[in-house]
Amino acid sequence: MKILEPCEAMLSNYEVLAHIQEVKNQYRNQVAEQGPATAMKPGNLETVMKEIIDYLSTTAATAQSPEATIKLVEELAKSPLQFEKIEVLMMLNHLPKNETELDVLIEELESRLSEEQITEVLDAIQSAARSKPNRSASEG
Amino acid sequence: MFILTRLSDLITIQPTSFTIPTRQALEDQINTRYANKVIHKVGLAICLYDILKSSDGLIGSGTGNVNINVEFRLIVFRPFKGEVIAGRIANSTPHGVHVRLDFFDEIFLPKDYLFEGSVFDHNEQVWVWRTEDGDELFFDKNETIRFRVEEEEFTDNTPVDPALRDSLADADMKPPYKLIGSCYQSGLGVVAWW
Repeated sequence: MKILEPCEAMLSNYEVLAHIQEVKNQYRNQVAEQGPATAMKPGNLETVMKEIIDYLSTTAATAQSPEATIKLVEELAKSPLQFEKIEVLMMLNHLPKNETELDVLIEELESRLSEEQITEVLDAIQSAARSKPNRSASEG
Repeated sequence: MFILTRLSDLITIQPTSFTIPTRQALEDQINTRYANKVIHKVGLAICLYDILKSSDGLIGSGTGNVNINVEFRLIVFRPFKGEVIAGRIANSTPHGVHVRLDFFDEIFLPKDYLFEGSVFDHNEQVWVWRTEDGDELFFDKNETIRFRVEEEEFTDNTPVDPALRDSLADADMKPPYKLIGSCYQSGLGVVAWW
């Protein structure tokens, strides 16, 4: 084994959830096409995939859709407020609902952003989360 | 919380798997080898993300196994320092609070990293945060808790020479990857509080 690049990119919770669900679907299709013999996947893989889905379905990742997420990232990344990449990532993973929650994610929130800017950011986040309203209401 | 890590490895496909398409056999082998396992100084590997390159298969003499050099990317659980994560309280001890995620259990919030004014209730076996207003907030078991990652600890658990092992007896007990978290900023702590 050789590690070529320990951290090539960062993934949001939503991307991980989407990838794992895709893999699961693919396996399900294989079973349909090639018979149940192909259903035997490594046990450690099955375990971790189930646990990841269990965990991520308790987070904001279930409330996201690809279009709304891309829009939100563009909005936050291009915003003149100059968020760090990791701050955008954390906002995406948590979708903070109020100022206290946002304050945890962003360093020195109050000195960097004015009241109006904070409201704007929270609104943008909420509109991205609202793409699947019935789900986002039940989580958290 | 999750990253992509690029690795290369020599993957062996046994003759019993020759009926399966090569790509699928490779994916299965890589997942068998890495999924749900900690890579030292990298993090907890979750599963294969994609295969970037693979060489032609070579059959070694003596066995019918095909050896293929593969370059691929894995999804790895490796939160960065300062990241905020939500988990559940697994249990509390006088030393601090243990937190788990469904797929990862080795997270510990030491007592010094909890809110100022937190005390351990020995009868209930639970940490209580007495706020300045005189409220009592409980770190109850199974509550969803938000914490900040402060430190990470990798332990190399490769087997050691039995002759040397005595001095390292407790090294066997240590988890290969462990996170230390904190919980002393408003907004952190049990999610229902805020």
